[in-house]
Amino acid sequence: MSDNTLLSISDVSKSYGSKQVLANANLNISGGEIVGLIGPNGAGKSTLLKAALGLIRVSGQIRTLGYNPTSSRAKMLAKVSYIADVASLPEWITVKRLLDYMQGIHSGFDFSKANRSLENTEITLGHKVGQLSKGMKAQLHLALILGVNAELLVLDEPTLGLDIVHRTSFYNGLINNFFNPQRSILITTHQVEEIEDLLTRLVFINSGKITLDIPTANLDEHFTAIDISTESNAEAPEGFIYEYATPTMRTLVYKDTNASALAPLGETRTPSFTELFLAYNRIDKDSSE
Amino acid sequence: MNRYFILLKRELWEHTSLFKLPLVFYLVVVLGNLAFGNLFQFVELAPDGLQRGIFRSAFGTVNSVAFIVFIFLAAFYLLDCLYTERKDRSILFWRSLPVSDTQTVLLKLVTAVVVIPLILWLTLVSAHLTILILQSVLGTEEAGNFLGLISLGKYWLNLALVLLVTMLWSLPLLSWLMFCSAWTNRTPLITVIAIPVVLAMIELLLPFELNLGGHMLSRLPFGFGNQGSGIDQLLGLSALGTGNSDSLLQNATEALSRTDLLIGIVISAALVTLTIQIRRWRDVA
Repeated sequence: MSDNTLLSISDVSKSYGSKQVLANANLNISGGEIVGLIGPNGAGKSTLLKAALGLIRVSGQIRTLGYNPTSSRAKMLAKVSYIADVASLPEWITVKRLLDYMQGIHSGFDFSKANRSLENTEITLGHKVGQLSKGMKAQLHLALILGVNAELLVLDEPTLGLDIVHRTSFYNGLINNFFNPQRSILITTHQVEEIEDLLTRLVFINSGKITLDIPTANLDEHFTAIDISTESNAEAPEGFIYEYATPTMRTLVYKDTNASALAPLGETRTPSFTELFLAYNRIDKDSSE
Repeated sequence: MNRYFILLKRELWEHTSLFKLPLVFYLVVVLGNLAFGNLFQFVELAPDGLQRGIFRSAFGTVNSVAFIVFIFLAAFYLLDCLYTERKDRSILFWRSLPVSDTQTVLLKLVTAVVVIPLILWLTLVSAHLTILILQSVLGTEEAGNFLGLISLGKYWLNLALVLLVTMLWSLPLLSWLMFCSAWTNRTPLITVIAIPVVLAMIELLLPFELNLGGHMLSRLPFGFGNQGSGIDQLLGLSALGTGNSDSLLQNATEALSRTDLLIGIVISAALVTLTIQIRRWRDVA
């Protein structure tokens, strides 16, 4: 565990009755990382985030910014921001008062920075939250996050229910105004393709286990995809972890394969997150790991 | 300190009725006095003792109405304070901020037990002063004399004392309201009433008598539901205006050292602890 570790999750398990939702999950996040935690419904994503934020008790050890998130939750939250749901801002409060409140309870809150990030939006300090559209609420929530200067930002399906315009603007704001080499973002989403260019690390979770944990920069070393025309007679080597066929094309994904063996079949590329996700979460047969 | 101030401000921003309703109440008192003009003019004819009595009864009426208004204000505030945030899911936002659940819950209790009575006291003091001033202006010359006849300072101090003891006495009831606000899935008011009623009915089946219902009713503030065991009789609310402040102080001191008042505070502490745990661990999905 390096000094730069912001979140350390070791051997964390959680069961609800007989149903195990987390099984010895491990995850370490250091400064400067944008980690995507991706898994199908019920994989344990939200449970893992709740555990990291001290909202549930689990077995195993968690340190968030060095704090035990259940026993030192309020202290931890001075340095960790999270958005549980963009629709959770109180409707009755005005934007001005919301910023005042944040300044009152967060010692490091930068009112003018939060206010500046609202300048490009239609939101004014006089607005009541209840008057804002869902997209504007997301912008406001983002402005609050930017004012907080947190070291770790945890986002659970942050753009759920937002249209594509607001989703894009939300992620742009995040990358341009929040992220820096000292900070980290942990994010879960269903819209895998949306965060494809964002992530520095890809983590898959399924049935409460971490099934893949890899820096996105290393993906091309380990994974190879190839699109083979159906007209081609070439025989594709066995051992692919994912196969997808259209009437004209057959796509195969290989893990730790010799790329030169594939070269004669056509041009190889790095698989997309969606292809990897599908490879690791096949429902037609047991997961590859 | 600044931190607690902003937390308190937040409560007032959300529950605007906490200052709007007292303002309305005050305006009603002012308008009432203006509309009915020389309400106390006949005081002129009366000897000293009667003048005092009449003003006392004017104050007494204002006090009684204000007590009722504020009981509802405090009750609905407490029923609402931890329920609405779950209903509108804003608890997800509040809990993402560095304010502990203990701070949140205690501050809400302080709002109901300290801030609301303080607003009540300020409202009443303003109302009393306004009555006196208006009556002086409107021609009840004796009102001016009245100022010299009773010690307003002592009167208001007594009022504060009554409010303090009343709040401590009713603390278990107030904590129960807040607990239900945090605990129930829908309509906290129903649980607030239903569980004590069920408890009292169960008690009827017991071979011995605990008088649970009576004990619970006696905790209603300001003598409503007074079963003879309430603190209000001891305090002598009606005696507030007799000017006998020494006996009131003595009664209040006696009330504060009563075992049942302490038992009530212990019950409140248990309820508040449970409330904090519920706020802390409840899964709001």
